[in-house]
Amino acid sequence: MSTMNIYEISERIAQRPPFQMIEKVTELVPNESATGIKNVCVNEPYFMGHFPGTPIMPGVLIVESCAQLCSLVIEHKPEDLDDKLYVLLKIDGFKFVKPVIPGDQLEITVNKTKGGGVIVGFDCVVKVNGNLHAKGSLTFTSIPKDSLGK
Amino acid sequence: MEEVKNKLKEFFMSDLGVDGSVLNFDTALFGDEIGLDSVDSLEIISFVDDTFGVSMTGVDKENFQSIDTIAAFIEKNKA
Repeated sequence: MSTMNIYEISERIAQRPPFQMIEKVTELVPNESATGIKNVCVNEPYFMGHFPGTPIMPGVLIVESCAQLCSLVIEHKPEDLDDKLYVLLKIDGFKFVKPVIPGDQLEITVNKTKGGGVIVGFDCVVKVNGNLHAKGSLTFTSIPKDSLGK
Repeated sequence: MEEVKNKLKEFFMSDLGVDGSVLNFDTALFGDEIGLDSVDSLEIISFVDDTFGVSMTGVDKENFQSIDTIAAFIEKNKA
């Protein structure tokens, strides 16, 4: 089991601020599971409009946070990253049990449920202070980069 | 062969949300009635690989027409 800081995370994923949604990995078992942290700050740009005077983290961005943590679990061969891209294929059964607001620290846990071949699936759980705020399943596949836009 | 077909049918019902009452072994999976799509086909490939150890990556789409044709492909190609 290993951990990752923001510098190590940035070496592994392509997303960058303001769209980088995992800041620390506290537990990582490659190709199996991970627990990661996202600190939700009132200065994040989407709170300006979602919603004015009543900041709530959009559910789709909670899903994105889970997806970025999943992408850190999937082991890539270095040569694969040149011509392949892992993309979100399917979102199943996501529930947003409690709103996430500025000041919350998301503790996200993802566990691989299937795959290794053409698709990879994960169960995701999002907690704040030990309380469940969201959960659901995500499925990914890899596509050739040169197929994009065609 | 029947066991393979029953496992496939169970997968279509539980994982892909297909209504079992309209799904027969010869029902067209990607036609109007069942209406599966290319995302479902990736799930089928993954399930067949994990469950039967048979790779369907890149095989002709005729093999995906129905439970009958997928089961026939599995029988023909399993180790």
